[in-house]
Amino acid sequence: MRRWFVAMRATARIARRDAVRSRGRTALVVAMVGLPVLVASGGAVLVQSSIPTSERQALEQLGDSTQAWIVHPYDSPVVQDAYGLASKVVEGVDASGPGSAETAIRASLPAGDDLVAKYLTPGAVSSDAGVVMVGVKSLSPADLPRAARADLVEGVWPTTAGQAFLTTSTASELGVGVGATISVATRTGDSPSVLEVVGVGAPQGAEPGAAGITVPLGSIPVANTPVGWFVVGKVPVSWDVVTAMNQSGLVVTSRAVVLEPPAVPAVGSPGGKPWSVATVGLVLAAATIGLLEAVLIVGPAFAIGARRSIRQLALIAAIGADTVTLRRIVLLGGVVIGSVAAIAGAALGIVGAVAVRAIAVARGSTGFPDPRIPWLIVVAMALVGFFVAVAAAWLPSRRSGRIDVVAALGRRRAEASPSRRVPIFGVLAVTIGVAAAVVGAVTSRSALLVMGVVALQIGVVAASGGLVTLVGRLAPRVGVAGRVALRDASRQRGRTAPAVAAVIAAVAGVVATGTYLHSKEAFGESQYVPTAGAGTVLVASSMVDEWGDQVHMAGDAEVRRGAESVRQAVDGVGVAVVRAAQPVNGGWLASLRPPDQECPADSSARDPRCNNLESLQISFNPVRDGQYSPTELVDEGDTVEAIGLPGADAAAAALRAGKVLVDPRALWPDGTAHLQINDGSIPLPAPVVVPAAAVKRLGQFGTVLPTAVADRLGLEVDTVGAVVTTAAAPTDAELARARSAVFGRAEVFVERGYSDDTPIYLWVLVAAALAIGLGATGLAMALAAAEFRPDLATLAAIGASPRMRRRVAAAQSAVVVVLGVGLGTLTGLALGWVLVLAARADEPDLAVAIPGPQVLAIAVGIPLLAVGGSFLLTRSHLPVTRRLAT
Amino acid sequence: MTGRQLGPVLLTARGVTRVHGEGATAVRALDGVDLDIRLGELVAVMGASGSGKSTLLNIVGGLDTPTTGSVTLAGDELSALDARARARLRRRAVGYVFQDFNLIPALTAAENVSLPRELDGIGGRTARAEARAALREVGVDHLADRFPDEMSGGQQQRVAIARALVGPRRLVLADEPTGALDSTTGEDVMRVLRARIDAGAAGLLVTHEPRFAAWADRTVFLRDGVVVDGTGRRLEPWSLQAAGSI
Amino acid sequence: MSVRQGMLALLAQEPMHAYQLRQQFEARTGGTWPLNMGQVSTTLDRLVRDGLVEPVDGTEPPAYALTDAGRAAMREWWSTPVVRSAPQRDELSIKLALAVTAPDVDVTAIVQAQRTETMRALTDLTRLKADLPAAGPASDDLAWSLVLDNLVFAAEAEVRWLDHVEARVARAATQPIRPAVAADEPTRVTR
Repeated sequence: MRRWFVAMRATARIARRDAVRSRGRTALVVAMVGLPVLVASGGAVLVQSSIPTSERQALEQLGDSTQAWIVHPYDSPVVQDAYGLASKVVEGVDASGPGSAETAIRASLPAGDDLVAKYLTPGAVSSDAGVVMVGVKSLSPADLPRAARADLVEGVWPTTAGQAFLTTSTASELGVGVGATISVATRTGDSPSVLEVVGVGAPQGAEPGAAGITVPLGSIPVANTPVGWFVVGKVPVSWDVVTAMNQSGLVVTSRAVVLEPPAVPAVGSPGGKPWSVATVGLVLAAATIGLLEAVLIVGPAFAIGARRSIRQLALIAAIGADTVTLRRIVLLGGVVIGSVAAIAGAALGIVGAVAVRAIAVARGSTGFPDPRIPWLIVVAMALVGFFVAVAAAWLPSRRSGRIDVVAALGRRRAEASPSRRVPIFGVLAVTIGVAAAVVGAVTSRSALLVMGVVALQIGVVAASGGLVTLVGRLAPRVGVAGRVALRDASRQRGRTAPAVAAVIAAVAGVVATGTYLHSKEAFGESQYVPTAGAGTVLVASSMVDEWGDQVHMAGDAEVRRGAESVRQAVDGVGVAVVRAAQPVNGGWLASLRPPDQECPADSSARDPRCNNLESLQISFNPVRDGQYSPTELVDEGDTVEAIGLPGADAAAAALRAGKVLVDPRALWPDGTAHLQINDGSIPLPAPVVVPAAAVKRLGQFGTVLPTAVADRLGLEVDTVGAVVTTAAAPTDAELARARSAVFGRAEVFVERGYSDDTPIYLWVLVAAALAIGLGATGLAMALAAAEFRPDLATLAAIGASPRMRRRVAAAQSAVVVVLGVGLGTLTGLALGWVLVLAARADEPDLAVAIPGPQVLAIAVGIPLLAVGGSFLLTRSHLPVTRRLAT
Repeated sequence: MTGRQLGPVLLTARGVTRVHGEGATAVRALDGVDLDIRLGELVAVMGASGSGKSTLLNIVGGLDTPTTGSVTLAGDELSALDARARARLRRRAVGYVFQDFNLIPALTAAENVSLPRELDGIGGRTARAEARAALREVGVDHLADRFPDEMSGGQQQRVAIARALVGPRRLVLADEPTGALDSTTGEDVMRVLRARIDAGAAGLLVTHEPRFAAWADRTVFLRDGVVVDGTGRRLEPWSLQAAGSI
Repeated sequence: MSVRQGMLALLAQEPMHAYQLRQQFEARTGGTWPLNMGQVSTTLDRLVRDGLVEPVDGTEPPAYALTDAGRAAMREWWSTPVVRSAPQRDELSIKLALAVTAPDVDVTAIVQAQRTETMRALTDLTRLKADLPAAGPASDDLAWSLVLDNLVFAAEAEVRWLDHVEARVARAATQPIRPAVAADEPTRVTR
């Protein structure tokens, strides 16, 4: 054991000193491994620092001058954490009696403290200059200064109803100051309250830009129960009081408890939806691919100076080291560099992030409330970096165990003769990998999927060496520069293959991710069902507010008035009302289908007769007992035209001709529809046959009837909303004005069509592929250039023109980049296909969509740039140098 | 030097043949070479380039294996040993000195010399003491803590000789050790080598310069892989007075 | 010739009598070329006759010193390289030149045997060198070791030449031989 230790120490000494001596290579690997670690840890620190601590959140809730904040979310006893941020009902305990929350609070309230109820009313606050939608806080006037959680900057605190206090940012958004008037519209549809601004101030603790308006009780209508209670006074609220209140379902944030939290177990919040197997598999696959690629990309950096180190390794072998020791020397090099890079990267990342935060704070930003360091993540990032460095040194270490010692000592170019087994193994791995990945994707077995993906990547990389040799066979068919480059590449496989592998890895990763994202986007787009033509504004005249009550605009006249004000707000063109029908005595109207169009009982999800694509971005509900969304629209053609979906004109014409519009599957061959009122009576009444035309679903409406037919069927018709047509899609400001115009009484929706940010991400990926692809190629070029000088001198001596050097450089980079990008694109497409297959577990209709422009940019752009860059950036003269390799 | 007793045989090579390649492109680097080296003996191998000298050296030290024939080194038949065992032999029985790039640039002279011992698991004070002693024997122990790039070529070769014979090693295999040195320095190095061998070692010296081969007790000539002649006789001191004809 | 010059060189330092001259000459050339008194006297007489040396009056035994002409001749000797264009008759060259044209002589065997012998001589010379201290000898030792080196290099040159001859002969043996020449034409070595 001691012998092994001594030998290891000698080995480690050589590895360590070598790392220090070959400063260029060490610096490069440290940079390639350390920079990502730095960025990742720094980013993690910044992200974590942007999330306020629980303590800060709790204290923000309390402002500067309150003792506690109490809410009443449950009726049964609860347990909570020290900050009042996480709470959960105690299992197995019955709900306590219905007594009022306030009673329960007062029962435990320390003597000497007062209770201030806070009411929150959603409102639209408008002035001449602007509109702000914000929750308006109502407090009792006496306690308002303490419980407003703001510091007065201008004016005075409101003392009577009819006055208001605004935060500075709300005031500036509304363009008002002390003394101005504002009007607040709330949900009940009563005329807005007009208030006078008497004070403006800065919120305590929270962002300086926070919106807020606080009014004394009575200024505006409030709900029956407050949203919470402040405890104000001199006596702190202790943990015992908190737990007493917990018994009544109250959750308390107490300043005293927050500042000195008792040791209580954390309260876990109820978890979200557990991840599906497919998602887990996807994440694992992506992580594995990413790690693998990082290793492959860092790998070539260890090949720098390979020739010199091969000579040294041969010498060490001659001194008496065996293969294992030789491998260890190279591997330990990776360990040394990896640990330095990981630790330095993590440390610098933390320091940098703290510095960035300090600068941001000094310049007044509040984006990073507290300096917080997520140690677990930072250590994990460092470990990943370390692992990548060691793994990247693993392949060169295996190669160094196989060097031809005799040849290296004889100062001939010694490369371990390329084994034929590796490329064959590579092809096998690719085949097995694809098969395993496909099977794993289709059967939702994430382990199989991940293994298949890994095998595929490894296989492609392993086979790349063999491909380099194969490509070398093309040498006789190309010009001098090409021949030199091809031969050099295939004979110096140890230098070329890692670079090719790196490019493959990068391109494959990008293409796979891009294909997956684009497929999801295309699917999303295909699944998107617009409710109306682009830019059309829909107004639904009834809505359910925060309290669960249904509020509405009653009557045709009011709806039209509301629609008109919306039209003015958005600068619209025309208005058409939406009238919905339903049977007088309840039930619904069914349009019967021909027998062959019925959805069979044992249907599969893919049967076109059985699916119903609905878009429910807005729903029109009449005011009735209970809630329902009618599916029958009554229209003479104006509404359908106004909604403006494709085919609207034909549909409107059919309506004007007296036809009914139904689902295409419900259209009988003789051009009629069979409408039957299904009111639960037995037997059902006979269907009414009317001429009909087919129409695709309009939002919630599946059937459109002319008024005559509705009357004939005996349906009741209500005006449930309106459609406002526009010349151009409304801006957000116009929309806000429209919403405030019908605030609390109607819902306003603008159809903007399908939007997605995916294209941006795709181009970001392309940029990443470009960077890595060019970087890997450049690295290979740098390695080649150093070792190639004697050959270039020979070429010069033979009489080659100086331009030959450029052509050779271009050819060398072409070999690497064309092979790499070509194979990488193919692998990436295959991988992307596998990923899409895996995602089909969640969405069966997902199809593979290849992002053409981006893939083309990669497949064509990277080679062009690499070859062109090599050509242009290489100095155009041949070196005069010793022809013997040193 | 006359009447000096030679010790036991350290190295025996019988019928060593090394063929590279196959069929039409086969090259016989060595063809049926026999060789014995005893303790206290320095044997020189001379020949033109391509005559197989370096191949012989590689085979004798276990870096290469003969196609046919046997090599017995320190009592072990080399063909019966696997690569690890041959490496062990290179740590304990035989040491190489090359024409240049003998030392690992990242290690000091003392660390270079103690490396075979450390690779064998002997470390600490023992290895350090052995290294210093070996350096003293070749006259460069004042350079023990210097790095190779702080030494002259001749000094480096001396350190290499020290390393080749450190610890239990008794056989030094030198491949053109004077090739990169000027004439006077080369002579110094040969002096040191001769002295160490006289003090209790053996050596196989490959060179193409006869005046350095002359430091050996006998010279073997190789041509195209075959031994063509050699000065096998034991020598009497030669008297210049008796020559007259020069 | 070199004995003459050698004596002039010795006399350039100080006047000597014949016995001193002989002793100094042998010492300074390491005894490689021993002289007898007869050779010394003859050479001295010739030098006096050529006006390069003159006897010093009043010395017993008679001492000799350089004349001005002698000193001039000395300076010329130091500054004039030894002429090499007329090669010395070399027994080995003659032997091998004849051997390669003799029909049934195994040239390779001659070469190898000679090489072995020259190597042996070289080894002996090297042993002598090894006995000398390696660095900074006294001036006598330096002279001796220079002469020794000359012999070593010469022997080495011979070994190298023999290698070369062996290779040339081997290559010539693989090439077609020109038809036998007529007996009365001068013998030429076929290439």
